[in-house]
Formats: sequence, structure tokens, C-alpha cells
Amino acid sequence: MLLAAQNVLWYLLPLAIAISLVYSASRFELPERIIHRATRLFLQIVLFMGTIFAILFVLSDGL
Amino acid sequence: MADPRINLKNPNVAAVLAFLIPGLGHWYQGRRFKAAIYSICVLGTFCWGQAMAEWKGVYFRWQEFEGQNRFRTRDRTIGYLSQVLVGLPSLPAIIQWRRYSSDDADGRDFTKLDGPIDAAFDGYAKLDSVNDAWEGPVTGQIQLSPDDSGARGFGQDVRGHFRGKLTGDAPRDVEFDVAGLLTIAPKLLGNGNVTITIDGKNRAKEYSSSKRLLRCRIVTKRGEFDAPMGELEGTIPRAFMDWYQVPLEDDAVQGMNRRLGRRYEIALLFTWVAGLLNLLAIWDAYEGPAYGYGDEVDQSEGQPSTAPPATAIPTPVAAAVSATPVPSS
Repeated sequence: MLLAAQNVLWYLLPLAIAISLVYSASRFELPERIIHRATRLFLQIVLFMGTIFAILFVLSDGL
Repeated sequence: MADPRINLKNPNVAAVLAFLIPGLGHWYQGRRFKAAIYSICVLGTFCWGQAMAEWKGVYFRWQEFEGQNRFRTRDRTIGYLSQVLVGLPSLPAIIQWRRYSSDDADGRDFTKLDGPIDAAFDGYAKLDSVNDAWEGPVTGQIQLSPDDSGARGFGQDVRGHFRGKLTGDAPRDVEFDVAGLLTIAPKLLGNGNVTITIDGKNRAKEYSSSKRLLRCRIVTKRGEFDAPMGELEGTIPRAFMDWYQVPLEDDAVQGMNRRLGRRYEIALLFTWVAGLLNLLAIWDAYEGPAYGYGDEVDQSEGQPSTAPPATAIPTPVAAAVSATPVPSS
């Protein structure tokens, strides 16, 4: 919450966790498989968003 | 086709339960782990979004404007179509919309008291009598009720009493009679504007759907009549059932955007995503997991896996061999 108070982008982390868990749960039944897939999906989402953020941050330098 | 190891019981019942309360359909099927994931994630996301939007992020409005505004012909909360997928937590919005849009929703009369009021009051009072003159912010308890005696000569016949504290530079206890209702916001939201005006300050407008604006006269008894001595203006809380998920007026939405900024948009996003996530949960309750049980061997990332025999878990080599097509001669 403190981080989110600094920048609303931090709200996307819990959102990504929820999306990863629910999406993975809708794909498989075994709890271990769900957790494993959810973790991997969460990291992929964060990596993707982080990459986009970094690109936009660099492109916006000096604006 | 669901894996035979998963007992979906009655898929239709499970799907309806999953729609009504996220996770309930899976609980009914005995899939407790998934029930916990769906209820925590979907309800958590939905409630978090609602809390960020001060519990005013979910409401339904489907309205056409017939020639009133040539720049805007309709007002439709498209986002509600996603929010409604969360089920019961968002269904009150439909009832509130029906109440709000019905002709008998206590009208939109800003000068009519719809019943006795005994509520906390927060606002501003200005008294100007020969013996006593003061003004300032006041908080306290106000009682108002329609008066059928017919002895008053201004506004709706109402009568009541205020008891509270004058705050500000010279705080003290105050108590006076009130009558002659000038303004009261409707029971259901009719206009969220609760800006106090009688203090003479040119302040920014304040909007709220959970508070009702109230303005009446301070009076003193003179024979059979009430003589006006000043004015009282402020807000009383609106009943929960009269503001929760009631459609917000445009001004109220703009006020929320001004006050919360991007946080309001993020809050709406949370509620929308929660609804879409529950769609996955409903489908899972009805049809079972999309890719399989979870002990299959991946063919490629993101693709459905090959289902193993129900009796044994195959080795990767055996799975690869079984997946290889046999050329026909």
C-alpha cells in the first residue's frame, strides 16, 4: 500500500498475482501444477510489463 | 470433456453457484483448493477495487437522452457488463437502477421531507437575532419531521430541533428549533452536490452520494408562529441502501475523478478484471480445467497437454512415442 501510494503502477502487482492464479487454476486441477504455472505466468507478466516500462521510460527521456 | 478423475457433480448447478459467489461452485464440487483461489482472488480484487473507489465504483445505468443533449445521446455503464460477472456482490446495482429510474422513487423533489429524520448533522449555521448573533461550523444531532398542523408559512411544513456544538473560533454548545425546510436532497441520489453555500465562501463544489444536503431555517417561537432567525445548512448521512450501487450523477463521477485521480480508474479496472476472472471460474466449474488434470506431460508451452492413462503417469519418453504419428502404408 505504501508503494502504491508512491506510484499507482504498484497496484498492478497484486492484480497480476490474481490473474496468474485464476488463469492457471482454470487450466489445471493439481494444486502443485497450478502454483507452478501461476508463478511462471506472474513472472512473465512482470517481465513483459517491466520491459514495456523500460522502453517507454527511455523513449520519454528528455520530453 | 473433463478429466474423469474430476467429479463435476451437476455442472449447471455448479456454474450458477460459481456465478453467484465466486468459488461456491467449486466448493459444491468438492474442489476446495480451487474454490479458495477463486473466492480470494476474485472477491479480493473486486472488494479492493470497490474500497479504492470508496465503494462507489459499481453501478448500472442504461439510459437514452431523447433530444436533451445533442452531444450526448446515451449514458451506458459498459463496464458493468464485466462487473456483473462477479455475481451477487454486484447484482444490487440492477435493483438500485430500477429504484433510481422508477417514477415513484420519491420523486426528485428537493424540498420535500419523506419522513421523520433523526440523524447526525455536519454543516454550518448562521443565527442573527436581537439577543444573539453568531455563525460557524456546527456538528450535532438533528431531528426533523413533517408537521401536519399547518401553522407554518414557508416551505414544506416541517419542524424539528438541533442540538450540538458550534466549532471554530468560539466553540460552545448550541441548541435551537428548526423549521421551514428549504432544501433536502432526495432519499436516493438525485444530485450529489453537497456544497455548503451560506458561509459565503466561494469553495470548490463537493459531491457525495452517501450524504444528503439539508438546508432549513432556524426559528424561534413567537406566539403561534415561528419567526425565522437564521439558517442551517449541511449534510446528514444517507442510508446505506439508498446510496450503495445507486447510479452516480455525472457531477458526482467527475468529483470522484478529481479527488481520487488515477486511483479511481485503477479501482474500476480491479472490478472489471474481477468479473472477467470469474468468467474463467464459471467455465471451469461447468466444463472442468481447460488443459487437463495437471499431471500430463507438456507438448509445448501454452498448449493443451496429452492426457495420461488414468492408471499410470507416463514417462516423457513414452509420451513422446505415443504422440508420434504412425505413417499409414
